[in-house]
Amino acid sequence: MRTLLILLRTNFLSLVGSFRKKGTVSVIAAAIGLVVLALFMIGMFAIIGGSTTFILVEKDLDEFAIYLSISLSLIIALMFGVTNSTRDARGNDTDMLLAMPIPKSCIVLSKLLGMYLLDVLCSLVMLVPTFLIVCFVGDHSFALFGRGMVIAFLLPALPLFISLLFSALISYLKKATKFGQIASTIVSMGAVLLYMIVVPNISSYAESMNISPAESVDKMKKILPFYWFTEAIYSGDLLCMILTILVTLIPMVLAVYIHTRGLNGVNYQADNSKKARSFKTASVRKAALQMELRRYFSSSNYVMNTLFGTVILLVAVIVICVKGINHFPMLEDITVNGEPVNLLEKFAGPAWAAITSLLILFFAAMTYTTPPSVSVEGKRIWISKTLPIPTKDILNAKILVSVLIFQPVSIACCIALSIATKCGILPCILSILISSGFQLLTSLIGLIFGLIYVRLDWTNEAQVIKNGFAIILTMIISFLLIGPFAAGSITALIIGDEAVTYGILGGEVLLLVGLCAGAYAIITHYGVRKYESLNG
Amino acid sequence: MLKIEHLTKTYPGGKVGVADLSLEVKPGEIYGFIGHNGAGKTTTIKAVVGLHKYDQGTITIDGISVSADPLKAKSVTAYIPDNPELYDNLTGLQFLNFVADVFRVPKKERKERIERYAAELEILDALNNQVSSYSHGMKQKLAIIAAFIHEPKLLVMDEPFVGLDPKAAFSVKKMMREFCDKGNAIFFSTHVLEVAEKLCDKIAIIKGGRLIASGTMEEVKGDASLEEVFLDITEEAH
Repeated sequence: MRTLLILLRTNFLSLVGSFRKKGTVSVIAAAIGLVVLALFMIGMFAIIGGSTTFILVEKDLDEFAIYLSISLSLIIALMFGVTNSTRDARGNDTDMLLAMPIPKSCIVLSKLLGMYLLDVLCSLVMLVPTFLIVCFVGDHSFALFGRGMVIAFLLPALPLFISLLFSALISYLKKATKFGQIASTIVSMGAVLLYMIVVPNISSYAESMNISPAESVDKMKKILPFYWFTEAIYSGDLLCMILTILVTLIPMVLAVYIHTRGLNGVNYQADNSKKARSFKTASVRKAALQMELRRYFSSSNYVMNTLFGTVILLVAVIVICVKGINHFPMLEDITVNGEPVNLLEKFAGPAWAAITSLLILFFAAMTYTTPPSVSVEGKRIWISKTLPIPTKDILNAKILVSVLIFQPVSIACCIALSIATKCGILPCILSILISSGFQLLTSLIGLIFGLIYVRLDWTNEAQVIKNGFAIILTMIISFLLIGPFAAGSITALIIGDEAVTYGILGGEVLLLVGLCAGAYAIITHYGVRKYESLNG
Repeated sequence: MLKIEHLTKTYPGGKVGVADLSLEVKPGEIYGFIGHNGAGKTTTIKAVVGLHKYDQGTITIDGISVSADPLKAKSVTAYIPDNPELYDNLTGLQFLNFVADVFRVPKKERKERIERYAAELEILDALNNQVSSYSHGMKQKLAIIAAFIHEPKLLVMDEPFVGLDPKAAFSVKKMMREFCDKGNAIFFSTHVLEVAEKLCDKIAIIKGGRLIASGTMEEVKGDASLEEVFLDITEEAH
């Protein structure tokens, strides 16, 4: 126990120290950022949990309100757990700790407790408003709140166990096959998509519930463990309480046991698979590009944080093409005098190019691989700097990765939307030019910020991929840049004249050409100098 | 092959990395560079391979100025750092292919060289494994193969024997000698004075960023051991 406390204290001191070494200004900025983020997350989760509960309690579905909040908190914890488990959770200090007279179970527990406490915080934020509303509005005794609090502490063990299992599966896949990275990325994206579908729609689901309390019990019984948790809180049923404790604690004990058994230092294992060795050749530029692409796709963190806009764009366009433009979820709500508008009749030709390109600009602003692309080289920057590769080619490769990832999807989407809206070839070409040009511009801006706010001394690449200042700035500037294009498109739609619309769209293309040329000039002059002055 | 004249490098804040350092490595020579920690060895090496910009002086490799034509100078040089941070997510072979592509090594030659050096250093079976699974010594071996793969004229090595097992260290020394016997040159830093004494044709001792002794092994150490001379000279300079 004493050792565990020492490890926990050291983890805490290490966390504090990681802020301290950045200097006072950075610490204050980081602290403000963390507080804002925490308030936003707490506020968002509390509002979602609270409003859903309120709706259900007003319908006399108090127990179902608890059930739904529990489900929601578990889904959120699972989403965070699964996305985090794609990273290597071993930690840099494991070898050092294993060399000390510390029981392995202590090392594992100290690491798991850190994750568990974060999940508990998330669980409390979601569930406390629910318990309070059920107690006060639903007129229940305060004992319900007490039971709820106890179980709110126990529940995070379940998603933690599942994410640890997933982590083990991913690390097995990475070792045994070449699909581990892809599997990790797909499952992480699936978890985020599940979160994005469930969380924003939970209140409307609650509103649409028209069932009796008895019917709600039948619904809850479909997922038994969740029902046990709910019953344990709502009625204090002893059997359900015991089952809740067993269901949450046994996996946790198992997780500690399995991780303790598996915790070893780095073991090199010779490759006995006798895979064929490939000696394919490539030009210098192609080699630099291949290297950038490999670096990108080998990091699920990198892919997860930058490919999301592209995936969502693809999904949105498939939905539009399959369901028809008039039945797209956001567009079917457009009405004039209470009558739904037939968008295909209202707009034609270049007007669709204005709408299509604007839609794609939003997703382009979410897809930025270039801001962390310099920092992610870290201490390996000596390789590209000592090899005879022109710096311009290295930077071009970083831009090309971004272009290759987004542009094929963007072009395909423009063509698909043009077919769906029957807008014609010229508007289709204009929408391709605008969306491609804008994406290129945001990639160039991202690379400039990536060079200005470069950080090579990271210990975990997530530090530069997820939290880099260059990413935040690029995102802000990209969304601000959408403004003039949105203004142009809206003006074209209001005027409704075909020639004016073509004129505006042509002007947007010229503006993008000018901006891209300017940004590229900055990269080839300032950027090259800055890259050459970097030291890992 | 390598000519450094009046090299001076001062770090931001005024700390002198190297001051007025001059030396020359001729074709066929193994040139050892020794000194205490922080003496300026790595600073000099990083300036030679183009990782550090310097304030004054000139560095030429095979007659090519490092500052005026860095790409051409790099194309005849290979560098092995003291702590080889390689691309963890690549396999060893993918990394070697990348380096071979950059130096335009044809397929036939790269296959032959990779297999020969990897067999020599006993990591042939590990080439299809990810670099992240390699030990420090294996990463060092991979960096050494990457350096030899394009047959450079000058090999710059920073503490090349750290982490190598005795057999690999022996193989690397043999490879270094063979490399220089073909008319190429090696400039390397080391703390292992016995290795320097046995392997080097010439030696330079640096302290506080200044060269305090240089020449052939006989000129520098005479009849004494290199260890005694090193300790004496560095103490005197202190």
